[in-house]
Amino acid sequence: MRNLTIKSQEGRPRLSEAAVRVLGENGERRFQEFAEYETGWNMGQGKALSIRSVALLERFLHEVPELADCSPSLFLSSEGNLELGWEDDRGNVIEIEFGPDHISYYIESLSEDRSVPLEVLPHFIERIKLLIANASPTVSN
Amino acid sequence: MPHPQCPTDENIVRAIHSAHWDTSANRKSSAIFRGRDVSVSRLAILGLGELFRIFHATLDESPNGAIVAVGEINVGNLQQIALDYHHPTVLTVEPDPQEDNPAHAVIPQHITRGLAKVIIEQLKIHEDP
Repeated sequence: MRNLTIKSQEGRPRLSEAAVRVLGENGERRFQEFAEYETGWNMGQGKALSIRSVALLERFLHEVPELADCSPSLFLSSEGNLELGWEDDRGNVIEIEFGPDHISYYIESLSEDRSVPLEVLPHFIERIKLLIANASPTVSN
Repeated sequence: MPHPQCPTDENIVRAIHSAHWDTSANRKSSAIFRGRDVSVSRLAILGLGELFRIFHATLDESPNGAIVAVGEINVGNLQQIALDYHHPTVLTVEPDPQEDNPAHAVIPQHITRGLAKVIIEQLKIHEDP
């Protein structure tokens, strides 16, 4: 996987301009906070931000710039993975977690709640692009 | 031997970390209530003020974000929500007192993203007083 992660002078990861265009100032601020969390955040249960998760999020956002129209929120899972969440035009939730070797997602409108390996990322990206375009993608991996 | 369970008329709270609630967009992550062994606290043992003090003790003066609120739900309601979900799930709340939090309890079963989202919608949110 191409590594798109950018590091600041302090060695902490930071987002590319393309990613910030999708996530906005709020998302960028949240990312900077997450990058400072130490192992044990969230009352001892949180792992530090995964650099592989950052790289995966960057790749996703580079390929799905139209997600900016959905104003997605950025979260950090207790496993140290970045997560995106937004709603479609009917208010149904879409949530994607970028793990180091998998993607976990929930698409409420399709009742899909699963994890898939990174090998299917290109196909997954196409499905999300279709969802954003308000099309009806086929339910398959 | 089966584990003891919290009675259905008890209310529990789940601490909500700033990483899991984008307050600017008022959007919450399923991470608040998903996974296995979700930690909760029993209001029958400690009040909200005492619990907020416990939650803050581990985070204040660190770069690790903050507990911005707690979400309250009745144990019986929680169990019914899980049973009514399209993939019915049996949930239990089991007392697990800790030295720093005698009200601590866990939900040992795996909670999916979708079920977590339904539970989160039913939480009564208490922001930090």
